[in-house]
Amino acid sequence: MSTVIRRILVALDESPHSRAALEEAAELAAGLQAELMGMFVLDADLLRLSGLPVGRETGLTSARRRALDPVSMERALRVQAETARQALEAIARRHRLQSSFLLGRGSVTAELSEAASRADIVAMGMIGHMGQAGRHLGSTTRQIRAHSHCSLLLLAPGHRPGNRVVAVCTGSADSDRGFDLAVELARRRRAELVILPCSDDPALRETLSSRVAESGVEVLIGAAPSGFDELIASVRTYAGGLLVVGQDCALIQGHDDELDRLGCPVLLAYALDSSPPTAGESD
Amino acid sequence: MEDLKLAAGQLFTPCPPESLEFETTESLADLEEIVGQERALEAIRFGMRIRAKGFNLYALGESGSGRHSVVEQLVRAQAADEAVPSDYCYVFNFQSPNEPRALKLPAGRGRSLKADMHQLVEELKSVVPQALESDEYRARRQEFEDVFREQQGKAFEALQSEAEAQHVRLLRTPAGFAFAPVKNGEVIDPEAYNRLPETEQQEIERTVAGLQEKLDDLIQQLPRWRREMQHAIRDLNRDVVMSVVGQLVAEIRGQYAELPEVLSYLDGIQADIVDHADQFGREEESMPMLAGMLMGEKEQSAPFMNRYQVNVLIDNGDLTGAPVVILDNPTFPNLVGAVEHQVQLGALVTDFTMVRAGALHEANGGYLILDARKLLLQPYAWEGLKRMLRSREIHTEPLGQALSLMSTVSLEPERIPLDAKVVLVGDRYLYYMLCQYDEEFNDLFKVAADFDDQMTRDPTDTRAFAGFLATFARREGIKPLDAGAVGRLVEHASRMADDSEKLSTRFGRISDIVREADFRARQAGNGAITAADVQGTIDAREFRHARIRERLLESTLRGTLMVSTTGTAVGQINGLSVMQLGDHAFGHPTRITARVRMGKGQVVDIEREVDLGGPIHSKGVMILSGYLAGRYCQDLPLTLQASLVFEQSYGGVEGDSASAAELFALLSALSGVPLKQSLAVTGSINQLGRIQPIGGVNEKIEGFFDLCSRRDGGLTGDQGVVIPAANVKHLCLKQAVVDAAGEGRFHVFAIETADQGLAVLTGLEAGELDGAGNYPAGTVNQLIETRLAAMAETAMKRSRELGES
Repeated sequence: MSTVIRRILVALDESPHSRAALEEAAELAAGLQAELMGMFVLDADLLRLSGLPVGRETGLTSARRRALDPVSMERALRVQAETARQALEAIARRHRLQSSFLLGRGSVTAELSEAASRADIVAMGMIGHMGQAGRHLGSTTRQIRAHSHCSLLLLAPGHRPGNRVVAVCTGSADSDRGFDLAVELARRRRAELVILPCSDDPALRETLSSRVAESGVEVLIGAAPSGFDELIASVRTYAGGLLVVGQDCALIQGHDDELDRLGCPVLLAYALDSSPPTAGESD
Repeated sequence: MEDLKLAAGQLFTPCPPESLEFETTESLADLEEIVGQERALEAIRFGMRIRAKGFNLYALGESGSGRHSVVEQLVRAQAADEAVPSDYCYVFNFQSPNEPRALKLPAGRGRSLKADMHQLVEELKSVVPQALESDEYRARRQEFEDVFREQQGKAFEALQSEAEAQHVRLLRTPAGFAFAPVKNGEVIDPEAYNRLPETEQQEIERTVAGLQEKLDDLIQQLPRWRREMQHAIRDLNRDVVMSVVGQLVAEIRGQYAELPEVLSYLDGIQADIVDHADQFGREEESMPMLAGMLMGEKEQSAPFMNRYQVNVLIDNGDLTGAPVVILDNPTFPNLVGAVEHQVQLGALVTDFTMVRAGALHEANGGYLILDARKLLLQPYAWEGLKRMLRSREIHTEPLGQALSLMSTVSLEPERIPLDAKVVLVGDRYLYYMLCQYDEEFNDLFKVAADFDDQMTRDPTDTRAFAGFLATFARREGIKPLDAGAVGRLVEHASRMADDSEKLSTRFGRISDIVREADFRARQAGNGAITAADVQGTIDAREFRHARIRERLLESTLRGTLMVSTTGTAVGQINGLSVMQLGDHAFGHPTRITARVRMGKGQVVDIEREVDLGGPIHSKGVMILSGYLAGRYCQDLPLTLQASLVFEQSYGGVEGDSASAAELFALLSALSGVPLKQSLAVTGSINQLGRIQPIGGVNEKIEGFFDLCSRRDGGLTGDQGVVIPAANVKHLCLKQAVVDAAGEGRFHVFAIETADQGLAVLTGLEAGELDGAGNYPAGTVNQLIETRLAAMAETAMKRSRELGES
């Protein structure tokens, strides 16, 4: 099975989550020698809204109401895009990465989904609440997760430091893909790999043992977590710096809004030959 | 005339070695007391003992009289028995950072407080971040943040749900939030919106407006929620930090339990640390960078922790008595202290750690010795010192601020109570000037210690003088002086005092001679300093200073300056003047001439006419008119017109010591009797013809002696000097003059009256009035009276003729 990661796409906006995603994606890209793609979308919804008579915004800090107009909105979004481009280039220079910047215009979800088809991993801000997250972040992430065919790296600012790569293994195709990525990342980062088997099934453990033996990295096999809270505790116990989990893993289903509680970046692995889950499944 | 001639023994009072009763000063004990300054010593002792306000001292006297060393010696002796004063520290003022607080601590405790605070800060740097990194703290903090996030998130989600139910979407714009009407999952296109029926548009407007009202309310809530979260986190910080800081501060409190000021400061520190717990751990986060280069330590902005440092302004921990401070450069900041600044990125910054102590701080509780002249020369130093003494507080402030020249905000350190005794050492004229022109001076410097520049040359004081030399030699590590050297120094001290019955107390100068004599003795390999070493030193010093004297003498010998030392002349006499060049004085003869003719009874002082004569000299010349009028032809008008001049004098002439010589020249011109040019005259005269004493008699005699002895053929045996009899006790002439006088080659005549002087100078009798009121024929006075009478009669005759015509 190939673990080659050629491109990592980062959705860029002004939010701190997006900045965190960019930083982590750059780390990941450097580790995997992948190209870093940054994408900023000139949101069609906002552009349309600014042309409406009801287009009025309330300032977040000033709490004052202002009328929107298309020209100003376009200009403001382009300024944000330029800032994002500069941030991408700066971080790519720092990590000596090949990078490219994509500027889309239209539906954020559609544009990102389209770009995601050309990437192996999409890095995005973690699902959060409207009040603190980036523009459309919650819904956008959900949409991408539902419709794209690539792995997702989810991040939020303020993660605690940790060097170990923690991988949850269920034996599914997505989980296997996650295992491969975790081994590769641990090798590149010279980090210890912690495997959390998702059940006490002897066959799974045997398979894991043989795969671990082939990997050539130092591996620690932990106890199987029985639920999301136990998963959080395990990640904290092993000082996980990155959690790799198959996107179909039952442990995280229904906890999209709580992934930030894990306290570290989460890589939702997606098997190359698996079909995308439906929106209903992801929620 | 012979009875007026002084014997060689009268010209010099020797101090024979055998009279000193010791061989070398090594056998003399150290002198405990200061020699010859009883009055000043009494004043200083009194001034030091009295602690009342304004009883500071001014030690006045001539330079070189040993004022500085005597004052220092006495003050140090007194201070050694007094208590060691307290330490003073400046610490951060948590209520008002611009006004550093002064802490008073027992001597030596300042440095321990500084060390304790340093240790506390070092411990806090590790303990506080540890506490703030603990799982318990992080969990509780996360809890507060989660509550805030949840509160905020739920509110937005509720608003978003409400909006979506009305087909409106909440969007995040670049600067805030907005509501957009949605159709088929997309925001309505403006063109499509315009095609909507008006009623539908109005409905959308109403919906959006209603939602926006709610959004406004929600956004206005956000800062309150954030504040609540911050307060909760701050309280958490306080609890966590308090638990670790309280324990550390309590340990320090125990050591300063008896010092309430320190305890109050520690309370302030504890509260401040708790309030600023978030600052701990930031110290190493920010790497100071400027244009990619690491900045030097001094250029970094002051770390936050600086506020917990202690600036030990005065550390008296090593003292054993009260401090004695001698400030050599009494500038304003050196006196009152200064607030220093550091340059950081082009700006000047300061804090309480940069408050520097001044001499008043250092001398607080003790003594400060200052040179009055240096103090007065420093701008604003005198005014600053007076202000501090008046208020009895030390107020450290920049000079510009003290003068209200600066309006920038700077530090204003808390004033420190001043309890120092200030001793000014200075000249007499400065003291009297200050007394007269500075009203505050007398209130602030109530004790004057007047240093005498002379002491009596009696056996007791001579012994004390030898004791001083012995002590000085031992203290300076120089060779002892033998009795001959001491005797020679006693003689020289008399010469310095210009009085054979006195000794100079300018011990600074005498010490210099001893040091130089020691050098000579060492060069010669002598075991002790001998009279020859002392004499060699005196001669060498004389030689080093003699360039101008030699030039004058040479000019006279070559005839450029015309002074006769042989023969006789009418209306011409040798006067004697003294030139003072710095520390060195020498005498030189000057030709004085007089011309007379009939006139209106005036004696014209040519020096005065051309503004070369000083007022005292003019006074002397005017006295001559009084003398003439009272002595001769009292029944006739004085119809004399006379002019007097110092020949070849191109500088100013001051003093009345030539008035006797001028009188003799005038009388010679009137009488036509020639005066001996082999004699020179000094002395002032009063209206009654009495000769009064003058200064510099030794230099004057030696000046004329040098000229006569250097002329071809040397001394003729007729040459000499006429001096006032009142000056005889001042004679301390050099050995060559004494020897010449002993051998009859040079003479010193001491006169009391003008008549005696006339007799010596003319070789004729001056003449006394007989019973009929006439002078004997052939006497000088008779000739003068005859001439004046003739002038008067001629004048009267002319007057009558003019009246008749």
